[in-house]
Amino acid sequence: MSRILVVDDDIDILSVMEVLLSMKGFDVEVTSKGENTFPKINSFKPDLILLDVLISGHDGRIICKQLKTNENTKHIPVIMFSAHPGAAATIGDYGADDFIAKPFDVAHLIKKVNAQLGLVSN
Amino acid sequence: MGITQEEKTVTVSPGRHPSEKLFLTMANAAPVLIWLSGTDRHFSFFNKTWLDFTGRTKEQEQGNGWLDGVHMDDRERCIGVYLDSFDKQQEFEVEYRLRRQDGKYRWMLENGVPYYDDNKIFSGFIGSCVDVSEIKEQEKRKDQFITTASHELKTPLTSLQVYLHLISEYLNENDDNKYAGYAKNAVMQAKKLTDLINQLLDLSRIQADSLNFQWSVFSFKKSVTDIVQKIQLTTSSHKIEITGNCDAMVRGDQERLSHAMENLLTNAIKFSKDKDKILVKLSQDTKNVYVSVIDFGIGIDNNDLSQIFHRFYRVSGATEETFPGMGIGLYLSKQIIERHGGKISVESIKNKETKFNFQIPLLLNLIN
Repeated sequence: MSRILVVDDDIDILSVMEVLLSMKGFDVEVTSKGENTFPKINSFKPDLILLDVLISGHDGRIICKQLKTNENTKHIPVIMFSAHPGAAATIGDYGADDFIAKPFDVAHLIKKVNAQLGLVSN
Repeated sequence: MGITQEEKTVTVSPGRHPSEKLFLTMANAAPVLIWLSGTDRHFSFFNKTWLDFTGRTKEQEQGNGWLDGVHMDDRERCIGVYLDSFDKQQEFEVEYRLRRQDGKYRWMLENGVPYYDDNKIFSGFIGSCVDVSEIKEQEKRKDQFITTASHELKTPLTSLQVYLHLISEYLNENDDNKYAGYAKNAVMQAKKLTDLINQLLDLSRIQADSLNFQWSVFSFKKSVTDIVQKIQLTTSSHKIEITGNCDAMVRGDQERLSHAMENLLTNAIKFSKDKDKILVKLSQDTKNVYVSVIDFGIGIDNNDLSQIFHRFYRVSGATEETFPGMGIGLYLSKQIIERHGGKISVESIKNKETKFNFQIPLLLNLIN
């Protein structure tokens, strides 16, 4: 079972992502705190990270860059997401593998997740 | 009736005209900043309001002295507009920052018109400026509010869409067709709400000139066909037929162009309720690809045609009042198409036919 870590400061989004991704057959961990990203990676060892662009007190793009420049984490695909207008245009230099705008179409999200995990969408 | 160029011009000759005193009294009492320039392009007169605003003397401002108060970043653009209009003897409008006597820069909206003497000989320009800083600040705050509010609306909408999707899936799996249908409708309504919020966001970003485009090269026909198929799924009352052909590639933001096309198609359906056909005509020449969206519905009154692409403009009338919409779809479509170097126009015969035409430059044409 593929493991997905979701990092978002909005508790409601975390709840719904946990329900959705679990129902789609993934093992899910969530955190609302940017500083918990690396500890969670160490303990949970995710195959994919869904990372919000703007997290309270943290810039998700900086976290992404840290992930992508760290030898231990750079192989983990990162899909960034945001409800903020224009966010897609600002993530280019931070190494994210993909982006999805909130609110997203569920099928669209699952397709992107599967693509990063090398799985086939049904 | 429109105003002719001649009617727009001003005939004053300070220093020579018998009512010079009256002019000076009026100019100095006016709450706006006023200046005059002569045929040598140099500024020769500033009203009291101008001098009070800048805190400088007439002698300091005369000639090109006034440019010292214009913000360094605006100076070249400001003088460029003035000189260009001067040479063409055409009225102009320009915004720039001017230093107030307290050292603070304020945004000014300046209008300039050529003026002529009694023998209709060009004598220079007369300009007036108003301080629009507060208006600009309010606009900025409004745009910021729309951006923030839209962002805040999108977060709960994300949860709503996901939960509705899961409910819909569950009902489908359990063969509860009736409630699965309700859930599907709820999903569609949530998507509609998302589109409306995105339109509001795009509007505020176009106003702030910060709309980002994701440029790519794609097949125009495929893009139009995809969006037609998508819209066809939402209507059982209309058959959307694509005629003509084009095999050209274009460079653009495919998603935003699709939004523009979607807007034309949904309008065509909305305003031709009693009809059953929408035509989409494709063509191309050596410079552009062309698409027309034609419906056979209520049509648009001649009085409304010229304003239909204006922001917030909504056709009013006994019949049209019953149609929903915020009056920003066509405005956004026009902005998007024009930012691709394209054009959009409309032709309509009341109660017979409405045709929206737009064109986008060919990729090859852009390269050449």
